[in-house]
Amino acid sequence: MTTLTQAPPTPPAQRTATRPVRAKGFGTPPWFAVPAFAFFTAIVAIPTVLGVYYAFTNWDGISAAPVFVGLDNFIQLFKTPETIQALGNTLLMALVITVAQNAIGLALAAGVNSRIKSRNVLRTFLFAPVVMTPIIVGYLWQFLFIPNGPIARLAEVVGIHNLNVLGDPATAIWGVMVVVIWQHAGYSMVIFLAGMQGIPEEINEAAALDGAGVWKRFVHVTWPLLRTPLVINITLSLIMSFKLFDQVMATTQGGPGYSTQTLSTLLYFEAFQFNHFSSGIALGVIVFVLTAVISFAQMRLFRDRNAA
Amino acid sequence: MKMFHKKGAIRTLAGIAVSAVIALTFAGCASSPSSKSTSSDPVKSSSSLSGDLTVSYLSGNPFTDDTLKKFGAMNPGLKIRDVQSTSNTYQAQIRAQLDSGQGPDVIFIWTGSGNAMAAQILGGAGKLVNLSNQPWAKSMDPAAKTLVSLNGKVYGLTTVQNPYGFFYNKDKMKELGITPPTTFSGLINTCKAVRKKGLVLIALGAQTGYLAYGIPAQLANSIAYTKDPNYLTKLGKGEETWTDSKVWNQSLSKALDEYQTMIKAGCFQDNVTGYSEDAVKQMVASGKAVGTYLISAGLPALRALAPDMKIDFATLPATEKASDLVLTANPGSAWGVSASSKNKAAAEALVNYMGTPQRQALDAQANFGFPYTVNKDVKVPAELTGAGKLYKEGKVLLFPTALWPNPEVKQTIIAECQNLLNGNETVDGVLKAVQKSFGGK
Repeated sequence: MTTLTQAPPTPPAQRTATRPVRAKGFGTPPWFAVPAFAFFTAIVAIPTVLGVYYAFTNWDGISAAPVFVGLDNFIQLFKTPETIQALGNTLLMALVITVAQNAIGLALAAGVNSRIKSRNVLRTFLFAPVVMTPIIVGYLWQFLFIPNGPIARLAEVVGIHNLNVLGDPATAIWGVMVVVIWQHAGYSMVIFLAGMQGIPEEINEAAALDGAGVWKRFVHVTWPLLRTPLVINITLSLIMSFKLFDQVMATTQGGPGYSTQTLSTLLYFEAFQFNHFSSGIALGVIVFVLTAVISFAQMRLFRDRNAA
Repeated sequence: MKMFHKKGAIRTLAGIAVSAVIALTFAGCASSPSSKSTSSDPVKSSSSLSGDLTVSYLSGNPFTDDTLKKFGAMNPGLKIRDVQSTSNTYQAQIRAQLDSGQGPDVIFIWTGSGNAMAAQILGGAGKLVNLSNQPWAKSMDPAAKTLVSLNGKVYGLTTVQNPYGFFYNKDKMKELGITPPTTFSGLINTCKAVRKKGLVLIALGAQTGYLAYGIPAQLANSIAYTKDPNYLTKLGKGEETWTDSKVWNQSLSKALDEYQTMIKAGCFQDNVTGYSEDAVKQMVASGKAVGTYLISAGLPALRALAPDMKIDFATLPATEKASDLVLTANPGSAWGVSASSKNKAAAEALVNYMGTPQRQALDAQANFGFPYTVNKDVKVPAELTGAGKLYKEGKVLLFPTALWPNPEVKQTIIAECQNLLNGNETVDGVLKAVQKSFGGK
């Protein structure tokens, strides 16, 4: 069986038919963009650039005249073991959450992309956690994970005793990841589902006529055509993982010890608890650069594969 | 095509409407409408204050709502506007307003220098009015005064202190035939006796930061008090430093040893770092534990879970003499007046009203605490009966947090105590880390 590596070409005639025809002499004048550009510059661009500048100063959040200190904040941050641990935790979480959330999302999408009667109810049910507030989700799971709580009792049944998921430094980070994956798998599911529903039924039917079973059709037809949803999902889950804050604060507040501290929670502590605003902003810059580099790299990788 | 445009326009309008509703909803959360009093409280007008007065504070504070209502009734010419935010947004929101010179007139602030909205930080940055000449400032408790002063100037009124300690179910104690221990060895024996009966004496929610280090900090306070009753005042005034204070360091070391002894004696439930403050309150309410270690401000939540439970308080003993028992109380919050206030007279009048002995006593009662200035006539809530005697004897020490030289110490001791409770750290390791954190960045 031949594996499809790209979407079937759309007939050119159809593409021409749907393209809006722009009348000659009625193009949008460039100055139409001026209000939006001015608004964007004032609300987004200038504060962002100023914010990045503050990462290179000793600003304490109150004083009006911060002093330029070069890379001192960044050097100081990387000298502390807590930052290294938070960086390690963030990278581990980004990797595990991205892989698990998308794998589960894909499996759920495949499941609900069927003709079973309850598919719409199932879709709603599986998407429900996404619309819940992360803090509420965190508190909910904090109670589920409590020692002697429902999950610990289930674990007793299968022979795991004295389970203390969020209170043990060895397992706490995995507990937080379970919370995040549980909440966001439905989001990945919806994007994969949209991709699956965009695949023409005829291709699957043709493959079935050729004798391909469900698994073969998924591997050789569906999966290759899900590249775009996959890129979107990976990018979104990476960005979300690098910014992870709410669920950590609701479940463990970065503890026990520093075992679940992430770059975002550390940023909060630096800026709002320790009054080191410039260090907090420096951490924000690190998160931004990390997210941008990794997202860009993975998009580039997928684009190269598509081109190949 | 025309139809398409119509639909698009409807969609756009719907979008704008939804956005507007959301924006208005959030605006409503951030700032409620004028709280000009409509109360029938027969408080007569006390002054001719007029104009606008903005007061910012943490949301969910009915006593402050009531204070503003009454003050509004006393000053009908004054238009009072309250700005309430939740604790996670309050600091950033109000600090930004103060920075731009658009802050509220009267501001809820924190004592000490622990965060960007603390009295000493804001006072040092010139954001608060010097209130040293106000009537309450002269009679303020010396320890409380230290927490809201900088370079001899008083920047805030602090009214209530909340004791930390062991809140227990009185009936459960009676049923088990035990009484609150008054010596450390008595505490250990009680823990063992209760454990033998399948219960725990103290349900500890060490997942919640302050509860992880609350017990050793309180025990250290008690031990240090026996060595030098003025040790905290000396540290607060800068006569001694935390790094060099032998009294504090030796006391913390002994307190951490005692903490470990308590863990080994089964004073707490297993896996304490897996339990939050809310979870341990449920343990007490359901009868699985005799009591819990808590700050008195957390009592309403426990009361809500167990409305009929008879609750009382005991301070944890750190020595072998019952006469060494002292109360450790949280320094809490304060009220300041913005330096950029356009109605300073009204703002100062409101703070002075809050600082009257009557309002302080009512504030303390409403918040399960005690007024800072020891008041022998204060009505002690039933849940704090065990604390009332120590309070009236003046045996009260502030929780050391607000006097620590920087906020990193608190975060360090939380993390280190959680590690100690999990068996991943030694007493020496905790001491070294705390000692290092006193130096700050």
